[in-house]
Amino acid sequence: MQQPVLSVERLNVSVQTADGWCPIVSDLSIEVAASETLCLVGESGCGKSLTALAIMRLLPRGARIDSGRILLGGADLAALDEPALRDRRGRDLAMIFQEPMTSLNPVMTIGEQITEGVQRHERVSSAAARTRALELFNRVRIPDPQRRLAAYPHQLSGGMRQRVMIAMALACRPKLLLADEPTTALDVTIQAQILEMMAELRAEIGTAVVFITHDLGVVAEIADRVAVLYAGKIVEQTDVVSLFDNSCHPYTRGLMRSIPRLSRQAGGAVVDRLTEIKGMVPAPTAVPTGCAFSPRCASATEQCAVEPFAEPLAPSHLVACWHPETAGLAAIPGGAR
Amino acid sequence: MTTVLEVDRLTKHFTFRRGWFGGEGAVRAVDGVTFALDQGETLALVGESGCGKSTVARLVLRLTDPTSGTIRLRGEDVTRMAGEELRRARRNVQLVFQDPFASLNPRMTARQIVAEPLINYGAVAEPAFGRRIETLFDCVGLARHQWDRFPHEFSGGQRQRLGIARALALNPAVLVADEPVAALDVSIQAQILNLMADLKRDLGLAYLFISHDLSVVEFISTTVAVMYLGTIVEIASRDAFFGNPRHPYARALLDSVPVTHPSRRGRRALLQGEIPSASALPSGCRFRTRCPMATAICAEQPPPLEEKARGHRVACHHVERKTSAAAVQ
Repeated sequence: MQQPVLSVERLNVSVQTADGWCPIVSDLSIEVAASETLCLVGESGCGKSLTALAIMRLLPRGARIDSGRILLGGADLAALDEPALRDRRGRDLAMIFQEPMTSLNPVMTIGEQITEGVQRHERVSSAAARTRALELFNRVRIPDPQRRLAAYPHQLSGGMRQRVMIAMALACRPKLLLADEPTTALDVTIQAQILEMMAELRAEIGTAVVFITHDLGVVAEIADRVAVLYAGKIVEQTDVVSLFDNSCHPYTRGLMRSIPRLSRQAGGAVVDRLTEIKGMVPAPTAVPTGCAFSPRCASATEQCAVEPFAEPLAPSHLVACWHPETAGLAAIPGGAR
Repeated sequence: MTTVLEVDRLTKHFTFRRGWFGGEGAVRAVDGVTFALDQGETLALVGESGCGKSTVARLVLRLTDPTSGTIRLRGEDVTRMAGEELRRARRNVQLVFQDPFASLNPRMTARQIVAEPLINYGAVAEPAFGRRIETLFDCVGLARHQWDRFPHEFSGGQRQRLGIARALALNPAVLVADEPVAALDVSIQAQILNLMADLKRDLGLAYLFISHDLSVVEFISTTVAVMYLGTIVEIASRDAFFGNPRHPYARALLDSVPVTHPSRRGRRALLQGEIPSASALPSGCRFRTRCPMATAICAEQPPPLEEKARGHRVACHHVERKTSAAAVQ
């Protein structure tokens, strides 16, 4: 892999509860290179959104980074103070959220919001900033861009607002884009348009993308590499094709089997029953010791009372499991232990 | 097969005034929707936000009054019913909500939530009451030690089970489920979908299943109706629909579903533009503004919903009627 743009090393995040600080993200390490998309996948409460907010250094009150380094462009974001962070947010790294309406300012026009960001980071005239905004609107395919610059967020549809958010995030060509479920609130036809556009822009600008989603279909569409999270830990990390062909962690395999698939895509008849993962995700305050997935896992043994460490089963295929299902890996050169 | 729900040319227009001196405008949320639902069947209403699928559900439940059209429940016309008569008819059609967090009273225990419909309708005599509750909890897979818990003590999936138990309490003929798994995590979604499939088989229910997720629809449905801007553009059996979708909108919708494997990326034509406003509908065919096949006739005449193949009805000027000998497509 080429030199990573972002490298997160052993990040630990916890939130304050009535009984003290409770760990939410444990020893998370990821790397993303330029023009690469890393998907963070997991169910609600697995810590994927807090990871993104920690990287942005935008954790809400009551959440904190306990330890770890967040290296971006030679600096450790985890160690920077607020003024230094403000210089970087929007310029070096930017974020888009699931619900664009709550992240846009309702009393400012779209145009003002974009030019504000550009002028904060670059010494350009307001006319030049406006031209930049127009170019961006064309780029994210907002119809009638001239008129839209003067529009307020409530005058736009959900899909348009998300396009505006993307334009705003990419205005200063950041090295890193964090996208937290950016298409989850959108209709499928609009989701497809936005995903296609994001892939194009990433290639064009060379931005590294951390894309958070719970939807394995979206992962199949956009990811280069994938990290699967369960209860705040990465349980499997690999490239997207390996994940779909040779996932080894029982949780990943369970997720893959539990989603209904269109018969026209999956081939074959419609299934009568979906494969379930028994039980449910543990609450962050009641994560089992050892392997957190073991109470729901069919392969669990006594050994799973000890926490498994992430081990490479094939080059750049990390799995944290004592009993990985490696049948598919044996065929790969350098695969299996 | 008994038809339990029949909806005929159902229409709901919401009127509003255009400013001080303007005339009246109307949002044509549902515009002439016709379908029938048989016992043991699942009719899935599919479409994007704003297509009117949830309004159809509200109309069927008589939570809002239709502008015109009729709704028949087990052969009985309920369209204009009111008061006690409506209350009695309503026990035959119950609702499962999308958001299990917002649709359960936080001050009631699980047992009280499930018992409430039985008490409201005096449905079960005292000795059998406890047994009925037990059966309901068994049906949805909630254990006895959970009966006296409050909604906040349950997870999302368990709450949805509770919502289903409550909906089943009165033995309804029709269960209307409005996006019942959309708010759930994927591993839990499979549990609830399996449960709903089991219940339908065991209890002989009929579902009106509203969803935007086509892979979920293919798993659960027997018939699929695709809605666009208040009208049904295609309706067919599940296998006919997924095997050979005919309407250009239905095809585009299927093409927009994310792929199941990274090797299948980028093999599709994406729909351009967004859904127009239901208060300013295009003339003729409502889909023509986004349709790759649109021609002059599409702007002039709204296409009727016609049978294009056996049991496969499509509203499109450009879909050929298939004779029995003609090849597929």
